[in-house]
Amino acid sequence: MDSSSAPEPAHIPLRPPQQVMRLSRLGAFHQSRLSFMRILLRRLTAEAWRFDRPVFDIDAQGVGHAVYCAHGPERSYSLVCFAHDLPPEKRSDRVIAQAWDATFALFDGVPTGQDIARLSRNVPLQEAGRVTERELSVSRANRSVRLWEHVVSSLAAGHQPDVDQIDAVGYLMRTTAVYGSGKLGAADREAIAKRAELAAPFQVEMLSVYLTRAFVRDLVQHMAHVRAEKAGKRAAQLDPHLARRLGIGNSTGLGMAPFLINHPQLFHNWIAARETALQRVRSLEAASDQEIAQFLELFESARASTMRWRSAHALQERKLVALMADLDSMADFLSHAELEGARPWDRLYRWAEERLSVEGQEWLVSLMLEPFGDLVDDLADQMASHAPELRPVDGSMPLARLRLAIEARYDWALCIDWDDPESAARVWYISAEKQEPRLGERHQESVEAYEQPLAPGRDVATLYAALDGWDGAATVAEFLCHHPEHRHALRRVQILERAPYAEIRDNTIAADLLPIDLLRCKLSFFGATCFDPRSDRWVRISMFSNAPYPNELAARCDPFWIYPEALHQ
Amino acid sequence: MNLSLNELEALCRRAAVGAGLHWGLAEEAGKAARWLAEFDLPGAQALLRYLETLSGGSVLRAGPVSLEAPWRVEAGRLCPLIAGPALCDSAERLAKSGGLEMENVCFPVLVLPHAAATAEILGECVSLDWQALHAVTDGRCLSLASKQTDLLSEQAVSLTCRLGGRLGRHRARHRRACVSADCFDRLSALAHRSFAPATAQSRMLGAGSGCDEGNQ
Repeated sequence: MDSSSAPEPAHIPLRPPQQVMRLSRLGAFHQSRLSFMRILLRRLTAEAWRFDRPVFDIDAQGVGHAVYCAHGPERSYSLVCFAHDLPPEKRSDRVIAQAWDATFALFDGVPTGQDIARLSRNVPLQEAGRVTERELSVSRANRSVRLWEHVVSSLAAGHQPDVDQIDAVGYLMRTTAVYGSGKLGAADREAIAKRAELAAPFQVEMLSVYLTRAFVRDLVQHMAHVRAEKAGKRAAQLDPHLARRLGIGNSTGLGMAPFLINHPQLFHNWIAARETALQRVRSLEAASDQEIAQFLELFESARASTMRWRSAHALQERKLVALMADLDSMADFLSHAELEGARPWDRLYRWAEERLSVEGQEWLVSLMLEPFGDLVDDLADQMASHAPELRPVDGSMPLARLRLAIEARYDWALCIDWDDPESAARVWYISAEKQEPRLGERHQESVEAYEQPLAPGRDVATLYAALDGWDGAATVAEFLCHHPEHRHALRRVQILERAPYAEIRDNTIAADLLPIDLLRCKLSFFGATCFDPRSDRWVRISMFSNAPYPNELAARCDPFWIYPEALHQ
Repeated sequence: MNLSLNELEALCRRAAVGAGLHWGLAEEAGKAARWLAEFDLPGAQALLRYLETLSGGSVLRAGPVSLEAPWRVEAGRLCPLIAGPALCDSAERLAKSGGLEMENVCFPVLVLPHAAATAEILGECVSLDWQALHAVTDGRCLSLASKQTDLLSEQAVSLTCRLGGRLGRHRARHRRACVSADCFDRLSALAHRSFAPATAQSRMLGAGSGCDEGNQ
């Protein structure tokens, strides 16, 4: 579409699911104002949460426990941290690991000594332990051995660590699992979802990681002091500017991949919030000088941080090369005062849609929301799903309507030749060995009998074929009575009636599927940065890099903290 | 054992898959066990005992022949994990007829959560009767008059579902689930059947995430 000749729409529509819900686009999403980390820090700042550390009982070997409390207007939450002395041969990020450098639980309130004693018998065991409804999450982290040693030895020697080494790794510890929502006996999400501070998605997990980052900084400083004292020296204090560059790392593999498919209603809410935000900004009739200035300043700072984004993986490298070229084009476009005149943001977006790679388009979409907190931040309240995912099937729906719904929303799936071995090359299953999702080769392994329902396109196409010969006036209830095997797929079709962004419109078992697209999409909603795929099925990211620490929140209420060269620095 | 409701639901869903149920029905079974657990009723136990009676694929032949009353199977016993969701799917039909009967239902307590879902859809109370048991629910609340033995009946020769009824004393609703260690272990064993055993082939083909940075 030629933006110069296109008629100006009376109303800017939402981008249609056919455009948004493609894996190539979802796999190019970036963090935004509506990402869960940023929602959390906005609330902690706006409500002036207080933080303290009532316990820090760690010995010279780095073993012990600590408690970090966050006090809000109505309730307090505490991260109970256990630090361990982990022999190198036991350091593994895999789900089957049995020991970690540090283990954590987020406690609902402020724990007593008895609570801590109980947690000390369970949290270090992770999956082999049990927690109670007083705990909201359980997690663990391993050190980046290389950076940890560099920082401890530098500080112990009385000088600051090297900034390039800090940037090359980006974190001192990486979480290898954060379990919430009832796992290992913790409180169910439903039990806490009505609390304002936990209503947005994943706020428990984000708070846990945020407090973990504060603990890790204190722990590395403690270990530096211990080492310096042994040598009869005085350790340097880690420069706050360097400390802020450090995030919490995370290596995410296939375990996370099925989430978006398994939570269609929730996924719809996330996408709908972001798309509505884009629609609102595109619909603005004009841009004020201040908005333009702020956008341009953020553009430069986001561009600078993107320039530092490195990935060793060929897939991401290619995307980055295209993104860099896109940013040059954008800079050129923006330098010609293109934001003046009518509907400037819509013009900018439509220009991007024509000229930029998908990675560049989505980078811009996230950035376009930045100057407009007053306009879009309220959408955060709509991102949680309050209805159970497993809504009742509408048994009264006539099959003629079901057919039409499938033809309208799964047209892409009906076009695929599912008999082609390449179309159904993969199988999602849970391995007995690791008890987490895996992706197998259907035609080379005997895993099909264990297939998880993670191929909605194929399953709905099978359902559609099964409707052959049924009278259109017959109901879903009658059909399911004879074909209960189609219940799962049929429910999804009905969910899409209410939630058009609930389904990824791509083949999730194709030979050329890139699971990292699923991971990247979810992690972008978390607010992760520095996506660095290590293969087609796992990705390393960083969380809370550049965020103010709890003790800095009150003084540094910068909503743009995520951009390292952002305003107010 | 004290479990979160999400844990119980996931365990029961996986156990149902492990016992050979299709996903859509297994999801319903997990949700049903969760609802029963909230009212401190032995849903997980009933589910376990029913699943242990199944042998490969038998459940698919145990749905009602038609939705015309009474609901029955051609031969054998009616599966509560099909009949329950079918009841909820037939909410509109129930609104018109005012009631329906099911014959020879296995573990009828597993139908109760679906009567509750039906009540929520219709915005009216639904009553369920089998043997000496009488239950009324509006979906959120439940009143129940029964003996423990009826709750865990292996079979109801006749189960009646009626629109209407008056809620008596509300049964307390809990936020946690209690199951015996034996029940937990046996459900876990069934759930385990849904996990693929590792093979040299799958390891070689790199199905795993491989996301381990070890001592880097």
